[in-house]
Amino acid sequence: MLFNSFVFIGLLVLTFGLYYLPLLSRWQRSILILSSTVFYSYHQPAMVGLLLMSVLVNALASYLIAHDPGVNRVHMATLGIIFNTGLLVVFKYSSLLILPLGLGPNPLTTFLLGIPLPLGISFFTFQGISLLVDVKKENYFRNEQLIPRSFWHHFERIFLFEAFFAHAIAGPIVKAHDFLPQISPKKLSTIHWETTTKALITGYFLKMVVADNLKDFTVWLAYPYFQQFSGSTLVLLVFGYYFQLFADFAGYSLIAIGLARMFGYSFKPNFNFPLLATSFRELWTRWHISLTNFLREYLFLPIVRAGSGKWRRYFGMLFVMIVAGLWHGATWNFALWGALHGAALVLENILTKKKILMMKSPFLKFLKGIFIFLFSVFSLILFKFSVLHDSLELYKTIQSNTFWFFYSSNDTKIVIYTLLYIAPVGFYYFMHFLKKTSWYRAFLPAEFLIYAFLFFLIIVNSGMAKNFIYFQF
Amino acid sequence: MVFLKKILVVTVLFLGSYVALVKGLGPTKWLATQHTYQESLAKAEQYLYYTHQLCPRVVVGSSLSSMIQTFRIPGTCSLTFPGQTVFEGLRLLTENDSSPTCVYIEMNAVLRSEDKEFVDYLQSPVPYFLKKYLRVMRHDKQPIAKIGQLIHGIVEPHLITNTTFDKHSTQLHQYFRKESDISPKEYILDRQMQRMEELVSILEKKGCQIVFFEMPISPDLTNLAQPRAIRAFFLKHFSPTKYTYIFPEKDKIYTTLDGIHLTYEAALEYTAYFKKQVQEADKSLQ
Repeated sequence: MLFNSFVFIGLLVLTFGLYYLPLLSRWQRSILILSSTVFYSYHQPAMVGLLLMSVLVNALASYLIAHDPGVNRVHMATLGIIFNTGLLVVFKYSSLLILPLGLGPNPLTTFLLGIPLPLGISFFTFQGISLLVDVKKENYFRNEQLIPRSFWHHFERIFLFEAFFAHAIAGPIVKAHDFLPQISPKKLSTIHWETTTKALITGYFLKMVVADNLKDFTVWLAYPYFQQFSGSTLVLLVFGYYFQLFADFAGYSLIAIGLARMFGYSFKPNFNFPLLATSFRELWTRWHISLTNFLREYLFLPIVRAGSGKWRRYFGMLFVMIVAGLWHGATWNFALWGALHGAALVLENILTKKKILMMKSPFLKFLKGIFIFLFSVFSLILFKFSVLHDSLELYKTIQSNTFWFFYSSNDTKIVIYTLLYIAPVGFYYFMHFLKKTSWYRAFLPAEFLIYAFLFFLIIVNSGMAKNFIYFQF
Repeated sequence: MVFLKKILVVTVLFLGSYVALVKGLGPTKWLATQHTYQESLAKAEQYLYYTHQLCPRVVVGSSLSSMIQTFRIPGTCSLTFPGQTVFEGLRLLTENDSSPTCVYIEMNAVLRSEDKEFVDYLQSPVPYFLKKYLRVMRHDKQPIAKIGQLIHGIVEPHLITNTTFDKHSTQLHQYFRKESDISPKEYILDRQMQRMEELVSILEKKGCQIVFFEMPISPDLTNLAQPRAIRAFFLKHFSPTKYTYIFPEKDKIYTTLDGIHLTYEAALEYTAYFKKQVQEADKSLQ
């Protein structure tokens, strides 16, 4: 079910009404779980079983770690993590692992290659891992506080944690220590409507007006069709793809944040103006923050802490970024994209340590920021295509086609509309700067006009609703 | 909550003003689409909300048959969608309350997968209802599309340099020749034909006559493995004794842009031929 579909709006209104009905206040968690199950099963009813199995195993493993003194906590947590990783390998990476082996068709390979990708598997498995590690380590909470003695209650809480529709199928990745303490009775009066409305309108605008319209232009970045465009149009389309991806996922994250707020839950921001990053390290603290934080906490730090030395650290960076790449999709192009960013991080680290990249002047920082932005944009060519050949063909075409000419009327149309739909993202950044000025504070009482205009554009200028790009992850 | 209320009130004011603007200018003055896919959506909406009453004949197909200038054939509407298949147009006809008397089905692009989202989106009950009565919500009434159209009109004459299009046409021609030379898998053709039979049978139950037609393509592609297989499958599944077929004139060469899409001049010639065939089909169907 899409957040921008009328079916979802119907489900949301019904859930919201029942959730805050005083008569049903005892059943708030159950209402959210039921609604989330309907939401999840809308497109892939068969996969609800998989989600349930994941919830059951993670709830059982975490319960035993917390309350059964006879259980070896390390073994149980490891088993649980193997289970979650195993789900990912079987359901997401089978094709990547089987195809290079060149095995002929047999019942097992046919079965594995034929399995559809379960929605949100990369999110709920990561959340399961976060639960097991948090319960095993007790770094953030004491198990007695958050893991009830009743298994049923615990199961119910874990079900909500993994399946809550606001984040279930496309994130942001919510960690157990952030979510579990928030599970409590909620009241309608505690909703902060202004921030909720702002998050929802901005999110829907970025998704439905910017991303959904840009996607119909970046669709031309497909082999061999891109060969008919000039170099400059192709470069612009690559920029368009960057902004489409940003608007799609940042928009989705904002909608998720707004929806969670409607039900009394708070998710951390997932995007923080990534264009402003002046280092690769900073870039990953601004783009898909929940994934970066997860990988840093549950993969990078354990690698680094398992030994010492700079080479281990560099290996950790490269390895984590390759995992981040593969997390986005089961193709070697994604791994290569991750490796490229990993290598950039390692190189930046080395140069900064040697004091070569210690840029204190704002102008030099600005130049570095531009370089990082361009690197992010052009590395997305690997991200966009599932095979390396097509990515390389695009790089070649950009170089070989005449750069500044427009080959057809379609060419100029694409340029104009891509720029028109990139412009609101520019405005979004402009507002970010403006909000810090005193001038804006004077304008604050009229801020609702901007949001009303965005809402108006959502109604009359949305692109055709398609799946969020991050659904495939 | 006050913030939310203010937003809702102002949004209604914006919407009201926009409705007044579009209505004031007249629905035909405020027409714009940004890209091919939106053109297809607008074309489908135009048919669903208006022209279905005026067209006893409908042509369904892909970008190949969208070259036919149906406005030159009175009483004929086009549900041809570039980048898509014949199935979207057929589904729109099967799911619409009123039906045309005759449906012309393109044979060429049947191997592509049906875009189910396209029709689901157009037929989704709430948006369908809203767009029916609130024109500004339709795809050809978007304000940013109109702004882009205005800029395009000003900028385009100064920018186009159509120097190397031939090179890319040749590249695409080679690509399509390579694709057409590959025999399609039988199970895919069978699956597509079964789907076609399903939709055709619904239309027949609604009283529609069916005519199949093949769009002309470049002569070096016409008899390659793929077009041959498609032709054979059509004739096997839809007997020529029961259904009317329109094939391109023998020995007539139509020029194409890229091997499969007719040039404007060739499209004009083919439209004249198609119109004649339609008139003959009309006579034989009476």
